[in-house]
Amino acid sequence: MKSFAQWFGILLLASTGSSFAEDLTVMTSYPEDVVSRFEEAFEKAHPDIHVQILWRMPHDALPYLLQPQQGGVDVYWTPSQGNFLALKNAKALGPIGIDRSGLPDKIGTALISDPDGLYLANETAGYGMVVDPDKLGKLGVAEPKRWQDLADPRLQGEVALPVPSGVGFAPMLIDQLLQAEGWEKGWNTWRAIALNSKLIDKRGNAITDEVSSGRAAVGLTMDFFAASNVASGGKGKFIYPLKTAFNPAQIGITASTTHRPAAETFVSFILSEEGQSLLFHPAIRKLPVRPSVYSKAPEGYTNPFTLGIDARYDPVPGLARSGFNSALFDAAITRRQDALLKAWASVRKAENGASPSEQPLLQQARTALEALPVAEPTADSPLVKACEQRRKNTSAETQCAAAEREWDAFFTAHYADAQRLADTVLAARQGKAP
Amino acid sequence: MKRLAVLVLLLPALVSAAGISTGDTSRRALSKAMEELDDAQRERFASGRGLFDQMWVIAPSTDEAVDGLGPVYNRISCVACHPGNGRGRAPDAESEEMRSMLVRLSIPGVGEHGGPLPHPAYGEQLNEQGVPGVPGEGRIAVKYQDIPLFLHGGTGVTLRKPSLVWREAHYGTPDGVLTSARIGPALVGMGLLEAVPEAEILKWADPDDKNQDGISGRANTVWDAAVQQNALGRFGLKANVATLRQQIAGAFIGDLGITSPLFPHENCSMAETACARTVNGGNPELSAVQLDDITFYHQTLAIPERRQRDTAQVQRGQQLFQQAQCAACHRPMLYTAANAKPDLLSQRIIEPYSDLLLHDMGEPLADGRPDFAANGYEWRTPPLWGIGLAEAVGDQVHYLHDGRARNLLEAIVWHRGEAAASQQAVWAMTVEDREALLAFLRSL
Repeated sequence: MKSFAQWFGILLLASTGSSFAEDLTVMTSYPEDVVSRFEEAFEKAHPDIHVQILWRMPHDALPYLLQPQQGGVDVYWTPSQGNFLALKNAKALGPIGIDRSGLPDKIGTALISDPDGLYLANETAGYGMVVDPDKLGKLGVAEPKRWQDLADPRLQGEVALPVPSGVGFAPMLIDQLLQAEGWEKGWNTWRAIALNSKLIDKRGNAITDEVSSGRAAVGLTMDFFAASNVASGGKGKFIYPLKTAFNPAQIGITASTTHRPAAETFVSFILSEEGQSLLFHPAIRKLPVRPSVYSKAPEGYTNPFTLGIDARYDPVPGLARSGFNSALFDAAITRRQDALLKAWASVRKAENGASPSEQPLLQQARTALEALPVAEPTADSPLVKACEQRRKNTSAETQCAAAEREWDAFFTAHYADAQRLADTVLAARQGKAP
Repeated sequence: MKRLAVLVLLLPALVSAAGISTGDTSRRALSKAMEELDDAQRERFASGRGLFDQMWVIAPSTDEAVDGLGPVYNRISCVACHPGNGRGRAPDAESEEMRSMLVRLSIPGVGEHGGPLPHPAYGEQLNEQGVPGVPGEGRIAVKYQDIPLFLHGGTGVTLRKPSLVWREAHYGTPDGVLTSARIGPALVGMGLLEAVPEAEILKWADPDDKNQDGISGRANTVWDAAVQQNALGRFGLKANVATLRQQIAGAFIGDLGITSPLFPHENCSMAETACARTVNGGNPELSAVQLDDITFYHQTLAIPERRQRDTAQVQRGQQLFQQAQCAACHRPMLYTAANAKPDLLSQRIIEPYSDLLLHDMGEPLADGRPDFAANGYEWRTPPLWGIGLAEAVGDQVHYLHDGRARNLLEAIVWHRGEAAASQQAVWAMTVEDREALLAFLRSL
């Protein structure tokens, strides 16, 4: 081994038992592609601070951060506006004493950072459609401009639609249309789109995979999934519809941190020119909130500050009812997509060449297919609160599950009614009993 | 091509890698599913991919399927060390953290079942991180000494010779410890390598160098934890693991601190009392179904197709690769068994450029740490398929077991031992020929 040691200089015991860097605990739900690049760049810039990442999805992070001393977490950094609001209300966030010059509080009319400065936006991402232009061309369908364009019957089976109860970003996608169109019209648009859709209940990047692999012509997704896929060599084109929403991600420092200067150094880095430019990486492709860095963006990069689309969205009521909306979506669409599809197919068939005497029955059928068991709820409705809390306590789960069962029965009955009415018209037309 | 013709004549049922390969050359080139997967298999592949990309969570958590990280660990996801299923890298400076690199530890002697003897306080691997309340085990940094060299024709190469330096040791002075630093290797084609018949690998072994070409090639015999008996080793940098499932389960416990049906005990040593007291994420933390899904994912990742195979430079490089005897270890062609599972892996002709055997690579690359039958100088021939895509897949990639080489030429120049003659042949090449050889490697 002597010669081996000479060649390799195997192991120098330089020092033991001492720590050279201050530990900073950061909780996040960002994926590895984001976390590792920021972590590495930060530690290069600040070798005196060692970042330990604790990873939790937002629903799992909130109870952790509401523990005494926030479970030892110093910085919370994640796309979950609801959690930041809840942490602020619980006084679990402390002040962020950093220089905020060059960091606007709003994109367009949408507020992205806390007005009291307890959490600050660090990036944003918009909702839209990733399309395969070649496949659309073969189907004879123009590139969609509005969400409603996805209801085109020629797109049957060609739309990848995320299920809000299963895909983290989807509740806000669903709700932005409900806010933009109104409750009833919005739900009918979602049901019309669902007629063409494959429902996706996995991770967000599964949507881009569906389009990139040719299994779908359109996918409803967030801009960065599509942009990073394209920048990494994948297929597809991202389109923002005329009305959509942008979802900001934020960063805050816990009230109980004992590493405030290090935490502020980390936040400053994330929001610095260097940190914000990391978002341009082909594997990330999120939208910086520091407008000045867009001058260094790759060609064709979206700048939300100059995009000029209608992105009015109020996240506060939307966040409050996301569990409620998800439960309603599952009852109306996820669990009954086949029945909905079959009933609509029969109604449309019956409508083809329908006589005036058949119209009342067909109108009844349409009404049944578009019926909703609940009016638009207010944010403080007990059921809205129960559905939001259902993962956290048993009585809330019981209450929300009971509502879901009622909705299940409602949609089952209404879709069956529509089916029966359409079948009646078709059978009568052929001189048969239904 | 002559060898292929012989194979095809002898085994007419064999088919090429069409349908299980990909022509993708993007950042995601090593992350594609084999095209022949059916819908149910695609679901399973997606499930395995989800686990591979998963950032694991400290227990207790409401996400019980993905909790159990630690108590001591290196990184919080598989993909952290194998970005895009590609290669990791070594720190470039002593001040840098190990991000996609780890250090194996042992003490002299033989452990249970013939493997390395774990260090009593630090176990078999340095876990730098600990969950809150549990100290990480410490930190080892990498220092480099530059070695400038000039190859024939004036090509300059600066090798960087690494030394490992203990910076922190939280469970006592690690006296007498044997170390071996490793970067995360690329992960494609693992199912196909598992499907190569054992007899085919052993047939190529020449432990006593009977053909007197200066190249031996030994099989490693290792402990198969699933069947509780010895088996041929074919995975790991020293061919120290018998099966892909065990390789993955080993990475889960070693790198993430996640227990599985194969390794049901947390990796806390007797010295790590806080580690032993920590809440776990279930017993085991990774279920058998999850382990099977992530194994299936790795079995069915599409292998990259050769590129520019017909260009004159690549063909010249391929000739030089043969002439320099690189192919004596980096065996171009193997075939898979008729009973390989999943079925789509069976009876395939594959081009992994490995013999899956151990070779003495000489003192410069030695780690001095035995691992089952592998001595401190021996390494398993790493497969070269996909190596030409390494830079497309990763932001910054390194080569060789410890990432000391920053490009393919440096990696070749480090070769010694049984590969010394090949290294000398490359050293003596004209600049043009060396470029052709590298072009060939980049085509893989």
